[in-house]
Amino acid sequence: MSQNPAEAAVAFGATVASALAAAGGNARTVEQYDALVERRSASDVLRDHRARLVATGLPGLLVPEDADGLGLLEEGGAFAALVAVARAAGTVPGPDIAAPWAAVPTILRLAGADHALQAQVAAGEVRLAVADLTGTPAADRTAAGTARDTVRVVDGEESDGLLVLEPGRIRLVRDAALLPVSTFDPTRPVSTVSRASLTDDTIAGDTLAQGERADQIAVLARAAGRLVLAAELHGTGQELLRLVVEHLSTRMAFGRPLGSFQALKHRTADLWSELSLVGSLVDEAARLLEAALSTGSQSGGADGTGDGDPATTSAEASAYVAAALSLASDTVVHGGEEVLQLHGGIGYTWESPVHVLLKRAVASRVRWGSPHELRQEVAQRFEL
Amino acid sequence: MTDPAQQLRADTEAFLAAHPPADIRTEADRLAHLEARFDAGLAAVHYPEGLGGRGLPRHLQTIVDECISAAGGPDNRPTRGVVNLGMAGPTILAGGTQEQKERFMRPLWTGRHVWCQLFSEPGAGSDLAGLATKAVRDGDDWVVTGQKVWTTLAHLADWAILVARTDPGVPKHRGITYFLLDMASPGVTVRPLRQITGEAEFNEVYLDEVRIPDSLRLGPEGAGWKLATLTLSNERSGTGTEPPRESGAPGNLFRAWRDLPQEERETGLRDAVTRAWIRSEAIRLTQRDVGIRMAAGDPPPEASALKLAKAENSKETASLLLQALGDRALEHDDGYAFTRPTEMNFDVGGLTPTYAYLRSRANSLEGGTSEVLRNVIGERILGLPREPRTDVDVPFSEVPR
Repeated sequence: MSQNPAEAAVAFGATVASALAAAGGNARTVEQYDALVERRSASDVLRDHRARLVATGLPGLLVPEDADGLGLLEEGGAFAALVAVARAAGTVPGPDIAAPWAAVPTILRLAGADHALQAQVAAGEVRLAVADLTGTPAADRTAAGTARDTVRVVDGEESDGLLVLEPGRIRLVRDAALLPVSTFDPTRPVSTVSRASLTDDTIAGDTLAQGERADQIAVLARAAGRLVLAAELHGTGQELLRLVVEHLSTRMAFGRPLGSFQALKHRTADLWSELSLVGSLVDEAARLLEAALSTGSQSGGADGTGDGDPATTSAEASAYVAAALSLASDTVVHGGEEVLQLHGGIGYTWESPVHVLLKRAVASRVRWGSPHELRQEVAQRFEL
Repeated sequence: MTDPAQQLRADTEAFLAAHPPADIRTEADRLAHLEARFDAGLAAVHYPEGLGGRGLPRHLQTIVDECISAAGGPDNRPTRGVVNLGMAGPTILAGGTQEQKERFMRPLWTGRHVWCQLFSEPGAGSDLAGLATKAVRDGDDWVVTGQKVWTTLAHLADWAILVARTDPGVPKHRGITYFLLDMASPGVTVRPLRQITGEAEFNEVYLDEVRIPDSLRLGPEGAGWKLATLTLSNERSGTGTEPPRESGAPGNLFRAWRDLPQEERETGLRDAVTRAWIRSEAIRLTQRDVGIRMAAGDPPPEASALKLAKAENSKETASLLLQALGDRALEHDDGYAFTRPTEMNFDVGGLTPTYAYLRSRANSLEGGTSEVLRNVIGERILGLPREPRTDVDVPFSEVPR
C-alpha cells in the first residue's frame, strides 16, 4: 500500500527521531548535564549534538528541493514531519530547533533568499539564529536591573548570523554583539544583545524583506517556530508522564505500588488526558500552517491547499499555533510540577531527570510569547 | 468488483424512487418509510444483512444518510434514540439470538419502540457489578425483584435492557444475567426522580416480582457483566462526523460573551474565557480524531479521556458564563417547576445559563463519573497497578454492603 505524503513524513520523522534521541540522549547523564551547566565544556557538548543533528539532514526539512533541501513542503506533510521530530526533540536535552529548522528556512524561503544560502542552511554549513523584535514576548520586557532594550537570543552563540525581525523589515545581521549569559535551561544557551544595536541602520546587514511582505513573513516564521516549541513541549510532557508512570508502577510504599493509590493515579490520569488535548491542537495547527505556507509561498494562491485568501489563512494558522503553544506551555509546565511532586523527594534531586525536563518546559513557556500573551492573540483573532 | 460506495448510492436512489419522501404525510407514513428503509438494508450499513444493514464499514453510512436527507427523507431521530441505538441495539446485535435480533432490531432502529436502561441502583452506580436486583428462575420464567434508578425515559419506554443478579453464590461479576424487559409487565412501577433543576428527567423503577420469560434472556446465564460492559462502551460511541467550532455546551459561553457590551468584558475574565475557548477547541479536535477511529472500529480508550475532558469543560464553561453575566445571573427564568421531559434533549444551544450551570453538574456523574474514568485511564491506558480489592474473588453474598 502506498503511503500518502503526510504518513510518509510522519514515518520519516519517527526514523529521524531515534537518531535525535541518540544525539541528545546522552546529555541526560549527569556528567554531560554538569558540563552544560558549567559551560566550560558546554560548547563541545552542544557542538557534538549539532553535528549529529545536521547529519540527519533535518535542517533542510522546510528547504525547497532545488536549494538542496528535502522539499517536503512541496510534497506535503512537512509540518507533520516537523512536529513528529519536535516531539522527539522535546524528550532529550538537545539544542534549539525551533529557530534553525523552522523559522529560519521559512523566512529564507518566503523572502526568496539566495538559493546558495538556503542550501548552506539545509546542509548545516550555515546556522542562523532569530531575534524577533516585532511582538512583545516576555523575553523582551525588562526585568529589574537589565537594560530596557535588552533582547535575548536562544542558541545564537557561535552562529553564523542573526535574522532580525522588525516591524516592516527583516535583515540578516552577521556581526551582532552577542553576550552569553547563564541560563535557566542549561541545554539551550542564551545570549543578550541590545535592541538598538540590532535595529540601527549603521550596523551591517542584508535586508531580506521590507514593508508589508516582511510583516507577512514574520507572522508565518514566528508561527513555524512556535509550532515546533509547542510540539517539543508535547514531547516533553509525554516523557515526564512516562517517567512518573514508571516511578509509580515500581516504587512500593505501605505494602503496595504507589500507583495503586487513587490519590496519585487520578492526578496522573489527568496529566494524560490534558496531554492528549495538547496533541490534537498541535496537529491541527500544523495542518493549518502547512496550508498557509503553501498559500503564502506561491503568490497568486495555492493549488487547492488553502481555503481562502493568504492573509486570512495565515492569520487563522497563526492563531491556532498561538492557541496550541499556550495550551502546551500551561499543561506541560503544570505537568512537570506535578510529576516532580509525584516522585516525592527523588524528584527534587539533581540525579533525577525530572528537573531537566521541567526547566526546558519553563524556559519554553516564555521563549516566544507567554501563555497569557498568546491568548491575547487568540482572543483578538476570534473576537473574544 | 463494484465499489461498495457506488452500489450504496445507487441502491439508496432506487429506494428513494420506490418510496418518495414527498408521499409522507403522517407519523405512520414516516415510520413505514423507515421500516422499508430497514428492510432495504439501508438503516445502518454496518448492521448485518437482513437486519437493516449490509455488514459494511460504519463510515459508509454517511453516503446513505446524505442521499436521503438531500431528498427530504426522514431520519430516525438519532439524538432521541441514544438508548435504542447506542446501547440496546449494539448489545442485542452482539449477544442476541437470531430470533431476538429479528424481533427487536427493526422497531428499535425506527424508534417505534422506545427503550430504557435498567442498570444503576441506589446501592450500585460506579460499582455497577455490586447490583442487588435479583432474578430467580421459576419454570420458563425469571422472577425479578429490586429497584433501579437514573432511568431516562422510563415513563415512556416500551422495552428495557436490564441486568439482574441470578447467582449470589459466585463472585459479583459472574452472577449477573442480562434481560430484555417488557415495561408493560405487571409489577413494574415508574416514579419520577426530581433533580436539582426542579424537573425529573430520570426515574426510579421498582420491580416487584416481575416475570420475564427465559426467551428474553440475552446471552448465557451469568454472562451479563460482559454484555453490560459492551452496552456502556457503546454509550460513548461517536458518529465520526466533525462537530463545528464553538458547538455544544461551551459554545453558549462564547456567544454570550460576545453579546456583552465591550466595557463589561473585563481583562481578567477575557483571559479565562480565551483559555476556555482554546480548551474547548482542543477537545473538539480530539473528539474528531477519536470519532474517526470509532467510525472505523471499536471505541479507543481515548474515548474515556474525552468524556472526562468534556464533562469537566462543560462544568467550567457553564460556571464562567454565570460570572461573565454578573448580577444578571441572580435571575432564573426557567424557575423550578416539577416537569417531566418527554424526550432526551441534547440541543444545549438554547439552554438558559443558570439552567445550564445546574444541569452541567450531572455531566461528570452520568455515563461514568470522572473518578471512574480516571481509574480507566490510569489502569487501562497507563497500566498503573489496580487498587487492592476485597470484593472480587469472594461470593457476592459475602461482600459487605
